[in-house]
Amino acid sequence: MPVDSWLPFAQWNLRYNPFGELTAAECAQVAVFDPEPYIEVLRCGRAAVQFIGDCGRGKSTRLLTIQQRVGSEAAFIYLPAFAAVTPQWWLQLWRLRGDLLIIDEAQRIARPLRSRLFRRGRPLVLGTHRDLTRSLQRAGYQVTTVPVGPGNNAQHVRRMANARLAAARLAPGEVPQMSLAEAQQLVNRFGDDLRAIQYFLYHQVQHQAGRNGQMRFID
Amino acid sequence: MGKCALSIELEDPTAAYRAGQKVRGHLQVVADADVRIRALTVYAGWQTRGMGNVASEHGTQVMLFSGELAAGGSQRYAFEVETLPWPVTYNGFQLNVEHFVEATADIPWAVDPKVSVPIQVLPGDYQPPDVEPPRSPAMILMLALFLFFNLFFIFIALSFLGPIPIVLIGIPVLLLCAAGGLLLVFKWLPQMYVGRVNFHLDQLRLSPGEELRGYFSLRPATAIEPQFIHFHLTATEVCVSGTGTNQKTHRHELFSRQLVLADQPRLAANETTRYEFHTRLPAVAAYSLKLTHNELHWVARIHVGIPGLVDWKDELYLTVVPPLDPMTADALAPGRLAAQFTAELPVPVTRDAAPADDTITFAETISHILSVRTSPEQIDVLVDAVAGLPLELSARIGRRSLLGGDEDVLLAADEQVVWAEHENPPLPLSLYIPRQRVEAFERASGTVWTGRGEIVGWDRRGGRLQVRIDG
Repeated sequence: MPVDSWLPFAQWNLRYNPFGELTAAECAQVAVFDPEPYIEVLRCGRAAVQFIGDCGRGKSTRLLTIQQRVGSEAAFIYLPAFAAVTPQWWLQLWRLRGDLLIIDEAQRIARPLRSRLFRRGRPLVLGTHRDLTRSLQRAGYQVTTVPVGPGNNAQHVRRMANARLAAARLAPGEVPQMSLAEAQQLVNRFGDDLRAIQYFLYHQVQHQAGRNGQMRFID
Repeated sequence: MGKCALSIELEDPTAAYRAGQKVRGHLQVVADADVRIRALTVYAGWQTRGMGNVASEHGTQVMLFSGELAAGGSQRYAFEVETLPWPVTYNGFQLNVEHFVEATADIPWAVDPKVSVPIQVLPGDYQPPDVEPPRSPAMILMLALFLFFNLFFIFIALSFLGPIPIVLIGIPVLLLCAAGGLLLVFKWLPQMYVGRVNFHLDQLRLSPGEELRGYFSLRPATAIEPQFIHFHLTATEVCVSGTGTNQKTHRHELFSRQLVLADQPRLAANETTRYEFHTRLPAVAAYSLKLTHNELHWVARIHVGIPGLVDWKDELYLTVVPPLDPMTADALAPGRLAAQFTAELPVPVTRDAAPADDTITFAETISHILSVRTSPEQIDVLVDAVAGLPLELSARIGRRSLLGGDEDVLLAADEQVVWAEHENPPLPLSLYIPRQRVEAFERASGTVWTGRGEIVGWDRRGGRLQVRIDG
């Protein structure tokens, strides 16, 4: 067991609290999502993949994972609130260049710009709260729609938590693991809201900083 | 596609480094296939960990190698990188700053392997700049908002009521009245109630464990009786996660101390009342930080409770920086333990008017000391806070101590120490008695004495509260 006492989670062989915010690269590393099937789809010319779901379900994580996997050939943009009525964002969206365009919060693309953008025919990955199938199909896209959220069951939560715990490993050796029963309790409490689960786990783990004993994920 | 594995071996893996100090070690590269490395680089850096979006900074990159490695080949490169001067390693609750040494190999057409080793970076010679308080919304922004709401409501009104000219005048007037009303309730009336105020701190730049002194004075235009006057000292981590509509601000109060300056005081019209206060910053390594999406604020705040109105408040931002002596900085507790220093303290306040009847008693002070008995640092803070206040006390007199002035720095030349015991709650005392009263105390041995004294210190070794008895 490492003895870096200045690291508050060293007694669990963890470098940091695994449930905090991560960089885009770290986010892609811990994502419980295989981007390969979708990248294959996107290779087939005029293809679009849209991830639909509520906030905190994992849409952005999926987009980031695809971006990290594709690398510099992909262009990523996040559209903030009022992007549909802000000329600055129209311009940014219009200038977006890449072999693959990844657009988060795609429902915020202004309608006139949407049809022009889709007419370019570049492979698209969209994170959206609204189904954009009709607009995409009108522009000649082969659309794959992936609902995000329904798959966030106990098994998924457990894998997500354990992937984060593994990524925070301090040195070779074991790290705490979440059990399926614990994950089920989290799902019973927070439903499919992964962000709420992540915040809860952050506080739960943080309160144990510097202590000994088995790490508890649930009170 | 070539691949390789990297590993870092620090010269001293257990070492803690000063900010700006060099870290030495070796980088091992093992190729599991023929690989062309465009650049093998190593650098030091820091990044935040916690609830806020990640902020980070990398130091100068040192290139160790560029070229081809054959499959199965292994190379070892010595390196030396410099740690970044600020911020230093910080372990808080929702904000942490992690320093590391990282190495990466830039390989064409492949995922770049990376390895990172955490290091501890302690304060060095660098002194960070003063913290700027968050800016209040600019006048232009407020005017823009006012105009926006004007146009918005005029548009709505015209849509429903049709083209009535009065709308064009009525809506701006109504909005002006609403804005004036809000200002009246939240700003002007509380300000009129407290009158002329002055909230002053002797120093705005301090280090953990240092004393914060200041005063708050007010001169109301009419006689007033506020519910309370409080001084708060808080340290808060403020982290922002997400972007756009998903953006969320997380606040965590790391440390909070409240001093009651006055409880239902009666303040006369046109008379200045001044409350002096002093308290000590907790001895924790929680320095003021202003990083992207991650901040740590130290704020001193005055809060006047106004009956029937919105309370009056004012605040000053402190800049808490590492102590100049690095050894003192090293001895500080981690930031995440700040809450343990949060014991609510009694009233370390002096007022230029006669003290109110509700100031703390000697027995209450002892109760507070007993509640934090296991933490000598907290006892010191507590004792500092009440030191110098004249207090009534009763104690059972014991024997005279034989300690001399060279063994006790508090002992004056014309004093002697008599041991005593406070009975409820029980706590041993060392009474510093003027020489002319020593005999009387010796004769009173075994009896309960009542009189006036002031707390002067805490004897850690003997576990005794040191009290100087009035001459």
